[in-house]
Amino acid sequence: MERQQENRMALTRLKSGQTGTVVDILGGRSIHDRLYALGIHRGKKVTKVSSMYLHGPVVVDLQHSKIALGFNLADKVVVEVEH
Amino acid sequence: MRVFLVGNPNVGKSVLFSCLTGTRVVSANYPGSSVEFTRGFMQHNGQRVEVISVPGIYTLEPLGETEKVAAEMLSHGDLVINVVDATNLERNLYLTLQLLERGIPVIVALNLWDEAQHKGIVIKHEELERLLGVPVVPTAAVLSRGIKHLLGRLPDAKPGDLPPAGEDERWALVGRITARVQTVTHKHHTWLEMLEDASIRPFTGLLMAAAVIFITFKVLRFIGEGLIIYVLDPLFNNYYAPLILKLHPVLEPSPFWHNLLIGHIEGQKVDFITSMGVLTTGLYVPIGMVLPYILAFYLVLGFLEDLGFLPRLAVLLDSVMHSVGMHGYAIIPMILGLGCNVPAALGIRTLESKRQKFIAMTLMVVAIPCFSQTAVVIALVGKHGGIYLAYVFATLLVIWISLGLILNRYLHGSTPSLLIEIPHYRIPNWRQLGKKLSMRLKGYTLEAVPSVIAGIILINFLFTYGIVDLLASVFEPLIEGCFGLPKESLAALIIGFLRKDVALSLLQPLGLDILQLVVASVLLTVYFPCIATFSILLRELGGRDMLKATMIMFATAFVSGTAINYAIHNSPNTIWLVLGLMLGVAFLISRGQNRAAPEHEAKTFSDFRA
Repeated sequence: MERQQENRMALTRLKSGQTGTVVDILGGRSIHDRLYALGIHRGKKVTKVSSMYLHGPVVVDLQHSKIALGFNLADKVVVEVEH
Repeated sequence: MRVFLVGNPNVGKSVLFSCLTGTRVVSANYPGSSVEFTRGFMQHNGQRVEVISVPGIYTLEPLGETEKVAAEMLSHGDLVINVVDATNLERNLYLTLQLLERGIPVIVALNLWDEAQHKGIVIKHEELERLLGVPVVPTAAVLSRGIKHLLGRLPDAKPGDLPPAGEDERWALVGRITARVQTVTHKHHTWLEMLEDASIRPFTGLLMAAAVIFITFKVLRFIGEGLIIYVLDPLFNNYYAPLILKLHPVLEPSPFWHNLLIGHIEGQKVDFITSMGVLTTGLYVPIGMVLPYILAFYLVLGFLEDLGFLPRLAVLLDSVMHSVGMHGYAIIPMILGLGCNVPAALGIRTLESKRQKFIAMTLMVVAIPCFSQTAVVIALVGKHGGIYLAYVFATLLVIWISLGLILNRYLHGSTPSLLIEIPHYRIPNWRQLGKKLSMRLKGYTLEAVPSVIAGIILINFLFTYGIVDLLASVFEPLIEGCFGLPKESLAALIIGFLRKDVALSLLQPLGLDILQLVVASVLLTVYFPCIATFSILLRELGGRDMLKATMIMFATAFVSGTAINYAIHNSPNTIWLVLGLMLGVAFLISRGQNRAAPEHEAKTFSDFRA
């Protein structure tokens, strides 16, 4: 349990090039739905491509598409990294 | 019969629509390039079929206005052509499954088939057809491939037989289907893909954006200036002017017609800018001065649009845009606005939240000059030296930023986060580019020539009946006192409501010096939009917000016009000091408590851990 917690982080904390599995999306129904429609949902593997300066958007790779999430949105997507 | 084209954003619905109906619509490589429902007709088996292209949606769940309207409309159709991006099957199938739950006949167009093959994605489309239970046809709309086959199979379309499912079940099913029908052979990164990644990494991205903007300026100048110097000016001066000179003695006996058609000419020389006749200035301004730059602008814009560069700019500038109350995507309508504010205003409509829309609309009409006006500014101001052009555009940029900072500080409401799919770069198809360019040029010419002519008729009327003189003496203290312009410049402000390009050329006969021209160029951009933009603004914002925006325009015009006038006449370079001061003040104001509501009620993960 303890170790699992350490592996969990928001997308914003993930390093570029790292891959993680989405385990939780914090926030209300509308955020959940918007992300869901773009294919970001629990159990989905995402690879972080980059993040911009000054709390800019995070870009993630979902195998066939790239999605940019504004910083506040990316901060609500919790991923788990395998070691 | 009524057919709907439904699909995710940026999968080629507009291109397919053009293929089917022969009606041209503007398309581009970024999500949300079509914001309106487009309707057309095609002949199919001797039957007239209505085709409606629905703006791109990811889901039928009512996330926003677009999805709500789309879902609602589906019940009024006989058939859905579900356009699916073959390079991104998994994400697209989610919507397909939702459509199959609806009980409306569906046929799937597996579009961008050529691109999928390029990327090493193989889809067994017969297998997909079997699993979905509806026809699946590979297409490449840009190359007009597969269209006949698609039409041939329209009668096979049938309603899906999927029971309504929950989101998780749906995604699970999508996963299973994709695993069955798709194999991806990994290919080496192409240079285009390497560019793709580089252009969203912070350092290389900004570097590339700077390079693109620099090259854009160079190309604009090269094409625009080249066309004017080597094609249009010789055409007008060597072939058209002698015609006018022949007409001149013929019309001399009837001063009314002479004045209206030819205007003032002195001796044996036609001055196309100052003569103010319908056949002289009325044709020269829209065709000889503005059209070359419009052509250059839309050529470059079309290329960048189809390449897929614009959404990357949205990512790069997102944090900067947030400080002026918008998210990064808003940069796209701003760039479109540099061409013409009207389509840009339609693009702003799709931005989420009322607050963001208001800020974007206001900033655009206040500080984004359309290219018709820019072309005339380049012609009249630019000939005195590039530094004067720099004064004009730097002032507008500073106004845009300062006003954004202030509005962001004081407006209630919220600005949501950016969420956008970044398309792959695509090498633009030259035929598509050509079609798009000719459509935009046609649109410009049909709009500009009549309204420039109307403007010229109106100005002749206003001068003849002394209306300009009357109004000018009323506003003299403002125009001469604050802005340092001759009071007759008021005529330009009146005509500017109709058309900004011809308004600027109205100033030419008044003999303004270059410093006054700089002030006038800024004023004409800021004080009020042209009537075409105004009517869309009124529709989109409503009367109350429009009134607010108008107040902001007048106040900004007054403050910036006066400040620039005093600065520039003190010594031209004082303008930099004043602009710096404006930015500084706006920045200080913006540091106060922001009135925008926190974006979402929920805490972020960082708060959560702390």
